Amino acid sequence: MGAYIARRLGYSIITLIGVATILFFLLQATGDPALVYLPQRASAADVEAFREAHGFNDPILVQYARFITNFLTGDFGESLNFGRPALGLVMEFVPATVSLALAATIIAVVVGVPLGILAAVKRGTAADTLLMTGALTGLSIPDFWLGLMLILVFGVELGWFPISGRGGLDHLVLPAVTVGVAMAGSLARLLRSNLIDALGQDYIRTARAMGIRWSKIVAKHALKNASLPSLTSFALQVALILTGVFVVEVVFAYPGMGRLVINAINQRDFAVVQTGIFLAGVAYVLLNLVVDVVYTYLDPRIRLVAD
Amino acid sequence: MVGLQITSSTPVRRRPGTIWRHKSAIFGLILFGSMLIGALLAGWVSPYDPGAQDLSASLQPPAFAGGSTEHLLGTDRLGRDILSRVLHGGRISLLVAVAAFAIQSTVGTLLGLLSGYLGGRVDQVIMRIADIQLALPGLVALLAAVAIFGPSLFNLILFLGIAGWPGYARIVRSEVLSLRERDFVEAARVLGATRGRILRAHILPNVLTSLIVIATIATPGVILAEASLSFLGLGAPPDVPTWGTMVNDGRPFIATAWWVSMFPGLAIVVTVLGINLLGDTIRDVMDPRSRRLR
Repeated sequence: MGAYIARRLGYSIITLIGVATILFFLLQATGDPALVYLPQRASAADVEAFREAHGFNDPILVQYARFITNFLTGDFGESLNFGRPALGLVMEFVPATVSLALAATIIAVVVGVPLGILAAVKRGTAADTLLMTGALTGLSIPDFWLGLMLILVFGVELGWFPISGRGGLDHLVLPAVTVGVAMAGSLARLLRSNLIDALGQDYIRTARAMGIRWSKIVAKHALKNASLPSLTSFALQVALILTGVFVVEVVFAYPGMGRLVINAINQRDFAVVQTGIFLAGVAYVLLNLVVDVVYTYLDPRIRLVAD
Repeated sequence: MVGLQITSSTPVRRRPGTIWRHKSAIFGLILFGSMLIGALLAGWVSPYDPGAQDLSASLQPPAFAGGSTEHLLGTDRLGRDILSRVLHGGRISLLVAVAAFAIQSTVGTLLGLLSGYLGGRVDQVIMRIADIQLALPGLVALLAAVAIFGPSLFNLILFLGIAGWPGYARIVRSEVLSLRERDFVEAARVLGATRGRILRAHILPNVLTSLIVIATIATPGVILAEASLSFLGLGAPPDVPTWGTMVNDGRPFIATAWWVSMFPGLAIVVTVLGINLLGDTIRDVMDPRSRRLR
């Protein structure tokens, strides 16, 4: 078990070095990295001074080694627009994004789990078709557009919720629903198919033959076995859907990390962009690691193979 | 001797037939097909030139919401006809989706074949690169790349194409791993076929069916990503009508002129839902395991 975690940890670090490498070469591919960091109106003398000061005139391997070392030690450079270290700046916006992501996940679980169970139990009926078409529709709606439509209906027409910024819980409702809809759809589909799989197993037939109540069989035996694979796939999808949070933050003018980074892209504040992308990479890798370890812990069959 | 009657021990399975026996596939085809035809025929069926401005008719509501029948879906801030723009906007979305698919599937299949068939170091390296790419926050990384290299249709397609290969490579790799051990591949090897020939003539044709399945999963993602990038102003150039750009155009008027954003967004929903419905059925028909789950 320990060896397994250590190996997975090693892979994670390699992946993060890889992410930093991609960011480095993305810069080099532009032809002149110094220009990317500087405002477009910078004079030739300014550019040369910047190059000299930040070592852009050094051999490329030296630059690469410095870049990676800086990243791994948490030095992501300075933000041009804010004139302060990019890491500290981005970190200030992380809590807002995390709370939005958490709220969206809660909505997804509260909506997606019951619908998935219902669809699996009622498999093949009109209710199942309706629920699954609904789930698929949820996955098919572009989040930025859904956000605008929610603003129109619940913010403008009904005036129930604030439509921008960050404040109390009410500010979180519309953005969290916007992100949560696709997540709920995805979770309901996953859970349904895993649950149907579990319900087809021999031990379910045995339980039925023993006269155990159907509701108890579903809740106690099938659901338990279906939730593990669903959880794994869902955790990975959360990571993917979460990049949607970034766009939704823009729509709701929600002061999170995504809005900060997207604004930084538009203003060519590349240190902030790199920091944001790298931190998102860290979050993805950590989530994967945790899921893998938890899965191994919960499922003894995998533990045997891993050891 | 009494003749032995051989009966199947498993119940006869319902024949999947073609995908057209599934209602949801037909529904999906109608949705996707109508958007596709609209985009293809946009030049002929559009009532107006999508770029034609008419400032005297700016922000006209749709015909069913108090507007005139001259502009069935209303007009935007510059008085451009929304229906014509939605029809033309589909061209970009579908063009980007098809072109990005071509890149993704070519790169992904090639690397997946190499990874699965050669194994060892090559496999390790390719799969690690796939892991690294999956760790990048897709949309933001795309945004950054497009911003650095300059927003253009070509860059958009290129980066969407590059972003999508790991999904294809992983699935092709796992297919190859199981195909590699099959008897017909072994037979070809014993008969002296070269690696290249085995890959080309024996493994590739068997992998192609799963490509269709991955494509139905990946294409909706490509269309949504293109729309998001265009919405954020870093997709297609601003003078080209695309659904994402049009939704963004309507943002400032969401409280007063909802139709500017609503219709292009609906077009995205209909297209993506259509492909998703078709894809679900194709997957069911092609993959016996998932068919059992239905």
